[in-house]
Amino acid sequence: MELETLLAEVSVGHPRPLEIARIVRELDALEREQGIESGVQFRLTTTNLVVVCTEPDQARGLGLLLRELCAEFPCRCLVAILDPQAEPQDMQGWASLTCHPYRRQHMCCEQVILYCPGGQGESIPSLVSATLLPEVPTLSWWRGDPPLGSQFLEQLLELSDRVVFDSADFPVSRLEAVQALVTDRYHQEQAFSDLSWGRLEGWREEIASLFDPPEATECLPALERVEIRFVPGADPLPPQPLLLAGWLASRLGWRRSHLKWAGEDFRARFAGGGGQVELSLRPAWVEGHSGQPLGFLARTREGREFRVDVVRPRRRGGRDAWRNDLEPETARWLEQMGRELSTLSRDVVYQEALESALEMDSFPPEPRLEVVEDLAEAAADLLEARSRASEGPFRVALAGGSTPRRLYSLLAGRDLPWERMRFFLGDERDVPADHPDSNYRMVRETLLEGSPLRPEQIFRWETERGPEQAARACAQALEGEFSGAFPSLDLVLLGLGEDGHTASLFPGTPALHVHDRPAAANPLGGGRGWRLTLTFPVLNLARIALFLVSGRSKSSILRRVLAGEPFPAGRVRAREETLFLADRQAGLGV
Amino acid sequence: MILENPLRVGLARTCATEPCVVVIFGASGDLTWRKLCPALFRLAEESLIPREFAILGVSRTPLSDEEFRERLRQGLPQGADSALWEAFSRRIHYHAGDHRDPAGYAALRERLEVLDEHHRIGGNRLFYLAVSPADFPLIASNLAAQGMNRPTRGWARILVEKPFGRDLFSAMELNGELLRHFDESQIYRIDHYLGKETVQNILTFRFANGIFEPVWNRRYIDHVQITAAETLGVESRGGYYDAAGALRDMIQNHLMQLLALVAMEPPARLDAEAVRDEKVKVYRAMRRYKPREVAGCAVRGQYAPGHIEGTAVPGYRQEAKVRPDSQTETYAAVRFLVDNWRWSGVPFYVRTGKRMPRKVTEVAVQFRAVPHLLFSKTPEDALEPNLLVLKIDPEEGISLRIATKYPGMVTRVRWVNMEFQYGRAFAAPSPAAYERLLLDSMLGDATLFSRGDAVEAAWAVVDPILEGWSSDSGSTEPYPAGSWGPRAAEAFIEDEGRHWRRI
Repeated sequence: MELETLLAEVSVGHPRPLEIARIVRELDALEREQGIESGVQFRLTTTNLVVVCTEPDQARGLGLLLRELCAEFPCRCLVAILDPQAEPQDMQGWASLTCHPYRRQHMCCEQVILYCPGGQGESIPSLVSATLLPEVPTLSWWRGDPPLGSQFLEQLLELSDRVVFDSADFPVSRLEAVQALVTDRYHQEQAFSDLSWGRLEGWREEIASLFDPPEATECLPALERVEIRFVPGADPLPPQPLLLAGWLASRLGWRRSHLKWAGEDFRARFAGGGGQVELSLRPAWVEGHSGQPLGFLARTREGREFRVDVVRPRRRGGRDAWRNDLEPETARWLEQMGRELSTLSRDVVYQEALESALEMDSFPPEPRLEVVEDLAEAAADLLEARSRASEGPFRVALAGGSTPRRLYSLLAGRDLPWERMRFFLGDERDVPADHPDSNYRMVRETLLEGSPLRPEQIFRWETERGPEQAARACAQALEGEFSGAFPSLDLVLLGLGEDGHTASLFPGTPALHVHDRPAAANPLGGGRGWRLTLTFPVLNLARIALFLVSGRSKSSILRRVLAGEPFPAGRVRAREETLFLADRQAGLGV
Repeated sequence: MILENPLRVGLARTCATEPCVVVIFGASGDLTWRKLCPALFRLAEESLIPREFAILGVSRTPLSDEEFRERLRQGLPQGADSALWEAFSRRIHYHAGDHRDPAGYAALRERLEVLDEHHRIGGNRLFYLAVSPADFPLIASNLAAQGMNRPTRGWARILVEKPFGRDLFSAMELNGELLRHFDESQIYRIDHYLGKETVQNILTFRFANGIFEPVWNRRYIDHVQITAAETLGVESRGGYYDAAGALRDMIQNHLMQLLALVAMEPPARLDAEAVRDEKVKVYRAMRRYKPREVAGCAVRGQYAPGHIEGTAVPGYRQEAKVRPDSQTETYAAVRFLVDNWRWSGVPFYVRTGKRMPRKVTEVAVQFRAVPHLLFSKTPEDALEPNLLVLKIDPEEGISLRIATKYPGMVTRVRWVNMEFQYGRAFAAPSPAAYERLLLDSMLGDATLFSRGDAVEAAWAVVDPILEGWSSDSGSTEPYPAGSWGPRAAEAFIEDEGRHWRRI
C-alpha cells in the first residue's frame, strides 16, 4: 500500500507529520491550538488506546472504526503500523486532534500514527509510555498475528490494562501460546479480550437460555449428543466453534477427550455425569461467512431436543438513531469493542473455555523441514509410500510450476495404486488447457501420459468458462468427489514462491480471506490477471501438506516462513503433517 | 430467582427471567403503546425477556389481536427490527372486557389459561394496572374472586402506577384494599424515577466511593437542594392535576425518593428489603410539621401567563380543564428536616415547578464554607463553598465545584467545576426507566419499587402541609411562566441566609 493510502485508511482526523523525538510536545501544542479554535475548555478522556497493526494490510478500514469508537470513548489513540516486509527505514509519525460534535458536547481524540518500515517496532513501547495519559486505563489492540513471546509484545503488555486480539487472525494452534500468555503469572494484572470469544456472546446467551427453565437445567447431565454446525475459517476448525465447544465442555464438566476428524465432522466422546456425550463439530460452507457457528443442537437420552438455529446479532434500535446509518458490521463491531472497553476485569469463563478447547483439540503439528539430495526422488518415495499404505481413494492436489515437473515424470513410473488415485490441481493459471503455462498441460504431459491413469482421474480447472465459473465448477467437483461432505484431501503438494505465496494464494490478494468455499478465482491486481486456487480451509483439512522447495533463491523465504513470519505459505497446517522438503540450495543455512 | 444453570456463569445477564404473561389492564390507553410496549420490545431486542412470554391487553374497546398489535406497532421506534417485531407480536393478544365488570373475570381467567397452554408459560402472571387508581381495589378483588391472586402454579404480581393515594388516609385505605387480596411481596408500586439510571447511581456514588461517606453528614454539609423543574405546563392533564397539585404530583413520591437516597444510611445488603428499610427510616425521621407551621416551611405558587424560551404561554388558570379560580399549586418548595444523628440541623430544600425557565432535575449538596479565610485579597462573596451536584435530567452526571488559583502574580481564587457526564464517559445508552422496572418485576426484584409502609410514611410527612394549605386558601402566589417561581420562595430560603441555586 502507498503511504498516503495507508494514512487515509487509519487516520481519524487530519494527520500532520510529526518529529518522533518531539511527540509529547507536539501533542500538547495541538491540544492548545484546538482549544483556542473551538473554545473547548476542558476535555475528557476515558482510555488510552494503542493499536498495533502487525502488517499494513491490517490497517485497512481502521480509521472508520476508530472514528466511531472515539465518538463514544474519547481516547488518546496511538496507532503503530509495522511493515516487516518493507526495506528497513526510520520510523515516521503523524498526529492529529479531532473533536466530535456529538450530543452538543465536545469529545476529543488525539491520534498519533507511527509507521515502522522493516522494523519490528522495538522502539514503540518507549513512545507509548511517554505519551500515555496517566490514571486512565490503557487498552492495547493487536490487529493481525501478535508476535507472541517477543520483547516488544511483553513491554507493551506491561503498559496495558487490557489486551485485545482476535484469534481468528492467527493459526488456531497459536491458541496454546495465547493460553500461556493469559495464564502467565507475570500477567495477572492484565485482562485479555479475544474478539472471537466476544462474538460468541450471543450464542452463549441463546444456548444458556435454552437451559434456564428448571426442567431444562435438569436435562444437562442427560445430554447424549451435542452438535455444532459452523463455517470454517482459514483453519478447518477455527477458534469460534472451538471455543464454543470448549465453553460447553468446561461449564458441563466434560473432560479428557480429543476432537478427531471423522470424515464429515470433528468428533469427540466424553464421559459425562450421566453417561457418554458425543460432541460433533460439523463444517459447512455458507457464502460470505467465515469461522462462525451456524447452529446448535443438543439431544438428551430421552430424545428431548434443544436447538438454536440462528443467532440474530443484537441490534440497537430507536434510541441510538445516530448510529443507524452505520453498516451493520461496523455497528456490531462497535458494540463489541464498547463492551471490551467498558469492562476491565479478567474473564475467567473465557480462560476455562480456552483451557478446555485446548484439551480437546489435537492441533496439527508444526511444519517440519527436511533437506534432501534429490527433491523429486524423495517426494516420489513419500507419495508412493503414503498412497500404498492407504485404503480407499487416495486424493492428491498437485502443484504447478517448474519444480514438481521431474517428480511427476518419476511418479508415472512408480508403483502407485493407480486405480485408487484421484488428482486435483492446487491452482491454475487463467489460460486454456493446452497453453504452455497451463498447470494441467504440464501434469498431462508428465504424469498422465506415462502412467496407467485415465484422464478422468485428473480434475482439470475449466478455464475456458472464465475464472469465476471455473472456481465454481471445481467446488462442485470436490463436492461430488466427497459426496457432499467437507473435502478432506489425503495429500497436497505445494510450492513456495519467493514472495511467500503458495498455490495461488499470493500476499495481499482476496483469496487469502475466502473461507466460504473450497476454490476461488483470485484477482492478483496490478494487471496481473486472475489465478484459480484452492483455499486455506481445504489445504488445512488435508492429511499431509508437502512443500517442494528448490533453488538458492528460495532459501531466504523458506527461513522466514519457518520462523513464523506472516506469509501465506506459513498459514498452511495440514492435519497430520506439514513437511517442507528442500534441496541443498534452498535448505542451506535454514 | 437465580436458576443454577451452569451455562449462565459469566454472561452479562446472570439471572434468568421466568416465563410469564404480562396482563395490561387499560391496554387501549396511551401508556401501553407509548411506553410499555416499546419497553417490552426493547427487552426482547436485548433478549432479556423469557422465551415463553406473552402480553395480554385488557380493555373495553372491542379489538382483535391483529388490531391491537397494529396499534402497538405505532409506538415502536424508527428502524425497529421488523423481523423481530413479527416474532414478538405473535405473543401479543387482546381481551375485550370491562375491568369494572366482575362477570368478565371468569372469561379472562379462561383466556389466560389458554395462553398459558399456547405459550407454555406455566402460570406466572404480571398484572399491570394502567387504569385509574380508583379502580385498583376493584381489579384486585375481582382477580381474587377468580383465585388469580394466589395461583396454584407459578406466581402472580401486580404493578400499579402512581398516584398511590392522595393523602395518608387514602393511601392507607388503598394499601389495605390491595393487601386484602395480595401480599406485600406481590405488589410492585411503580415510581418511574427509581428506574432512572442516575437515580440508581446515587447509591453507587455514595457507597462505592470511600471519599464521600465520611463528609456526608451535618459536620460538613450545610444544606441540600433538590430541584425538579419543567418547562411544560399541565398539558392535557389539567383535570387530574387541578385536583392534585405539585406537592402530590412530584414531591410526595419522586423527590422524596431522591431525598431518601441522599439521606439514607448504608444498607447492609443491596437487596430489596434492606434498601427499602433504610429509606423508610429516613421518612420516619423527617420532621412532621404542624399545619400551622406550614407557612414557615413551605411555599406554593401557580404560574401566570409568561414566556418559555421566547414563546408566549398561557397561565395555569387558562389551561383546559382547570378551574378559573383554582388555588392548586404548580410550584412547591418545602424545607424538610431529617431529625436524626447524621442530618440534624441540615435543611433539605426541595422544589418543583411547571413552566420554569429550563428543564432540569438535580440534587445539589452544598458543603460548609472553610472555617478560616486565608485569602484576604479575595472578595468575600467569591469564596463560595464546595458544591456537589448530582444531575439527573436532562444532562446526567456529577459535578464538583472546587476553588483554584487564578494564574497570575497575586493569589486570586476562582471556582471551577469538575464535571463527569454520563453521556460522555459511557457511551452505553442508559436503559429507559420502564425497561428496567418491567424487567425487575419479571425477575421479582422489588428494590426499585415503593413499599407500602414507605408510601404511607411519605404521606405522613406531606399530609400536614396539604392540610395547612387547604385551610389557608389565599397563599398560592402567582409567578410568571418562565420564571423560577414565586417571590415568596426566594424570601423563604433567604431568611435562612441561603440562596436557591441558579441553574
